Amino acid sequence: MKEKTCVCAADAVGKDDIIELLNGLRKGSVSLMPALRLIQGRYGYLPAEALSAAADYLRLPLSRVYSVATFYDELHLQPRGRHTIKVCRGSACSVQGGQDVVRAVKKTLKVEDGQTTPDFRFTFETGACFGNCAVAPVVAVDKIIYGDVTPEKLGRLINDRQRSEQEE
Amino acid sequence: MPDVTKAASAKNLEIYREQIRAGRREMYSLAVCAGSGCRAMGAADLKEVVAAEVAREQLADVIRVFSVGCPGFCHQGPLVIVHPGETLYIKVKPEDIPEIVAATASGKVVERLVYKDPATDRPLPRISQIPFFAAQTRNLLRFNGYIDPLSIDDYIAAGGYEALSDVLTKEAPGAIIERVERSGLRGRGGAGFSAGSKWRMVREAEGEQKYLICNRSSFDGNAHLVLEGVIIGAFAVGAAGGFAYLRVDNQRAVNEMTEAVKQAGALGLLGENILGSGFSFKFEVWPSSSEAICGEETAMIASIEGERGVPRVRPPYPAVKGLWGAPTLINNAETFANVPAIIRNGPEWFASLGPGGGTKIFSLTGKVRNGGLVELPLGLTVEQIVNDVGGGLPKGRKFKALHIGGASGGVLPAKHLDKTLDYDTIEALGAAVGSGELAVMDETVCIVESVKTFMQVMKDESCGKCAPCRLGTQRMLEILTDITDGRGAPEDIERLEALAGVVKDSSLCGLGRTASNPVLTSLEHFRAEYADHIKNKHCDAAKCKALVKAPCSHTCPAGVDAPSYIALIAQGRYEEAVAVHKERNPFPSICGRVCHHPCEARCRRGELDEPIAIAYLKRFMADQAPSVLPSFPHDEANAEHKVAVVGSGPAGLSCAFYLSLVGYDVTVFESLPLPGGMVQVGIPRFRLPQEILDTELGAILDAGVKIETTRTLGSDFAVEDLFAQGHKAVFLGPGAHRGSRMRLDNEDTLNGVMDGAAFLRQVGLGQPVDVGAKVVVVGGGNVALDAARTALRLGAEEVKVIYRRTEAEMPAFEWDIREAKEEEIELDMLTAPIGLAAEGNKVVGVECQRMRLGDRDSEGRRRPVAIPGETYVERADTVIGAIGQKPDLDFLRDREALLGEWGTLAVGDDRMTAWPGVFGGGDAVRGPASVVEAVGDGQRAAIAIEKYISGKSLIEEQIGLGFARRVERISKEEFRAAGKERRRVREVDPAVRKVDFTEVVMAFSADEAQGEAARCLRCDLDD
Repeated sequence: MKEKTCVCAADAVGKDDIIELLNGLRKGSVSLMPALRLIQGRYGYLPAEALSAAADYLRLPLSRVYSVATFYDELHLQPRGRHTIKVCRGSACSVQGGQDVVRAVKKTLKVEDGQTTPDFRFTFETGACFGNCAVAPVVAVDKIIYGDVTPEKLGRLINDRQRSEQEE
Repeated sequence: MPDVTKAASAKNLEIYREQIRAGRREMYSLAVCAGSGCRAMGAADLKEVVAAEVAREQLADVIRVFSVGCPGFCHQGPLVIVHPGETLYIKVKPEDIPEIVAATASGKVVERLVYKDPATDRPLPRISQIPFFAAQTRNLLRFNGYIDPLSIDDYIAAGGYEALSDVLTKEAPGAIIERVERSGLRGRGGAGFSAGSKWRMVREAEGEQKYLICNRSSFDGNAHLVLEGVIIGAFAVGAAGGFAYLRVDNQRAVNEMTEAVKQAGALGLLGENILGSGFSFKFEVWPSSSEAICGEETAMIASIEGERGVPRVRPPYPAVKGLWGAPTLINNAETFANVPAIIRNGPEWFASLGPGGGTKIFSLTGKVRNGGLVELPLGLTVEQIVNDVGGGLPKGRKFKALHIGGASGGVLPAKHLDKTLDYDTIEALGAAVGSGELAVMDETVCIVESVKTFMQVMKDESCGKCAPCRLGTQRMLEILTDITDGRGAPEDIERLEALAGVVKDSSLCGLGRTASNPVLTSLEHFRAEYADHIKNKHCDAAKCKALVKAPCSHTCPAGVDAPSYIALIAQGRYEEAVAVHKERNPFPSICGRVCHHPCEARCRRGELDEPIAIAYLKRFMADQAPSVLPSFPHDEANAEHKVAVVGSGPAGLSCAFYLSLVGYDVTVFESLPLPGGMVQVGIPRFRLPQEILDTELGAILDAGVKIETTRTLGSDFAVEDLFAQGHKAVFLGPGAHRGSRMRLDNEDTLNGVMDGAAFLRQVGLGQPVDVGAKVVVVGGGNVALDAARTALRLGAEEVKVIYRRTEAEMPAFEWDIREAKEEEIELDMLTAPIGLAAEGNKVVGVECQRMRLGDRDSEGRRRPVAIPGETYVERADTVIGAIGQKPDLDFLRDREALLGEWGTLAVGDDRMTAWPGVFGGGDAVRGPASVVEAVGDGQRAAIAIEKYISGKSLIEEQIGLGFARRVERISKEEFRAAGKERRRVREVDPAVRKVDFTEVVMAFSADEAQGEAARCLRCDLDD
């Protein structure tokens, strides 16, 4: 089968696209987070050109936009994998074996925390408590939360994603 | 559906409420849990399955199907509840739905899907019958499991927005604040500041415009309940606008609140002129980032203002100068959710809910049977929470600590089980109620590793604005990582403690100030566990990967390579298996019968189903090849070095064995006529048959060890004599054979009174003992039970064991307790001896005092306390006191420097005493302990003696295999074929076995042993 590559990074980002996207937001810093979320929603990350365009639109210095864009974990300046595997590192999850799950992801995908596989299939990250402590350890795959995860169950979740991609 | 679209007045709202109630005609409703826990366990599509089934059966008029907020019983999810009747179905799968729907329509219950009492297996179909729920006080969570969190109609039908309507029409803002103040409600976000005081500050702050922020947090109660509290709060403080600050990654909470705001707006409960009162309030959902720092109020404000979410110095507090410079009320969602009930039921009602003021939602997790979301009165004890609400620890494990308050919380050890969970008590203990996260830890949780994990979170969540938190959390994480990876230095503990103090005292905001809590509380209560990691590279929980090859061998005091010999058993290679065992422990036959096998308590297979039966495997393997010796590098030159070993117990013989194997000339001096120490004269033959013992001791002689019996140190020779005879080193392993006195009058002079060790010794040496018809044994340990069971076999008609605590506190092993009970030995608990009754110089009974359990000691065990006036005399022909033993070290009476605190022999890390060339180990050093610990001591002393004499480490090189992988894995097919179930051994029928000294436990067959060994997960081969 043909290897897929990420197309999102190659998308050209035009200033007009951004202005159209942000149209209706109030000027100023109060709209900065909503604007960055809109951009990321469209491109999957925050392309540099989009940040400049957003700064212009909101009438904020680019440095200010950049400082906020680099602060929040949910915002990404680099393209991401098509699937995100996020392992909770909250206390309940670690008591119940969350570290074993983290080790299993690293071993299976051969990436460290915060990295994306070279084929852009998976991005692996860990996160603060998801609030699902009762079914710890917990893993979110593309926002779907799975409870009582073991290294074996995690392997199945990853395999399922890989298989469904191959079938596409 | 009701047709009122806008409740423009309080009266309209009541009409609307009546319309909704009148419109509900279905006889039954099926509520499917929509909580995140159940969703994570696969409930996401369950509601659709139920709805489709109800439609297919044409029951839509009879059964209403809807989603409900989390009832909290998350360990048992996915959940489905039938109303009315509150029938709870657990662990529901899509294929169970038709059965549930059919049963519901005919008013029946599907018994196989209801919760069953774990002890009796009795079905408990109703929510109110289940202890997990019965132990709670559900105020904030009262709608969970009952109404649809996405339906304002459900909320209104249940009495929702009544409190709001009341205050808007009848109450002045000042009076509302006064009520909240009187209730004693404290902020549920973490710091526990008085809500009423905060509301008053905002009310009284100067400013045209005021705001309200309802802080995110994964509040699992109903969103409308929060919203109602928010609107009341806004009215009380005079806020015109506000935000629900909700974590964007908690999609469910965002959806529910967004929907609630929309529905309330449509009904006129939000926005302009609410319920015609003239009060207007604009409220929006603000999806916040997941950064922990954004839970800090000034950082939260910065993030809403479109800045980096970093905190600023307070004061000014947000109540005075908050969002966009205006006075801002910031409370947690759970705080607001308490308000409607306080308004409706009054502040006195709220204060009476719990000694700590109201209830609090906790997330009870970790090693408990019934975890989940629970709402408890503030002020329950830790023990009540763990045992009554949580159902205790699974797998019979021992409580180690409760971690309270998440990554910035603290640990409470067993001695704090009686402490109450309320804001002031918990804070005084260095923890924080905080987010309400309660994680129960058992002995398989490594404190250091978990603190490291918490610190990783705090380091990642530190915003970086202030140096103490930014650098301190990083540095603390590095130190903790060094410790768990085996690179810790002795001074690391003090360094960590000092750093934690600095970060706590000098950080800018609450995140930094609480980041050290786990470090500080764990250092207070579990300092020895840190030291064990650093000094011994040992992790008691067998969790720290870098230190642990396999949990079983890591836990074994003698370090036996269990996975390798188990793998060899699976392949039928018994001789090799025995050789592997004897590299570390020369007594597999003995230990296979008497070892308390701490290895099994840490076995990772036990996490899946049941631990490998390591001890029984060991016994089986050793009995196949009892005389095998391991091969050690033998150095002929060592033969010129003489070593003396005093005491032929497991410590002395292990030391002698390893020194002999590498060529030293070793002589063991034993004061008794038979070798073996406690395994010969302490352990009864029904646990360890004579011929097994003799064969295994014989193999020690085969290795070249010489034993001289009836040679007693002190009376026959002195340590100096041994050196004078040319011995280069002396190992002292005389054991602990002197029974502790019961401190009863005439204990030493009356006939028929003896100590347990002396009694067992007499029997072990084959001397006749007449115990009479009735024997009373005093004590709760293994020696007490061994003595009792031996007395029974000597012909006693009635044997009673009295112990001052309860069975749960008995130090004896549970299997010994069980076997003793099977043999109809009576255990009389909470009874202490206070005197002896005598006729002439013969004992005829024990004066007993009834006890109860009082306060806890430093290890969490309850102290026995006498109940005044409750005394009686228990008749006895023989009284055996088995309440402990001490080493008999009279031969050292002129050398007190060699003795430790408890009259034991003191040795350093190198196993040498203060007397150069004199080493020690076993019970003489530890006090009464186990065979396998004595073996470990002897083995380490042998290594130390070799280094001392010749500077060589032949033994250490041979046995110090570390992480070497030695035996290949069996095939996957063989592993699967072994199945899940642990193989059981058979025991001789109690009625048959109690008349003589026949071995009680029968051995595995070869098939059983190979199958059991094949279950091993081979942790030693893990990366």
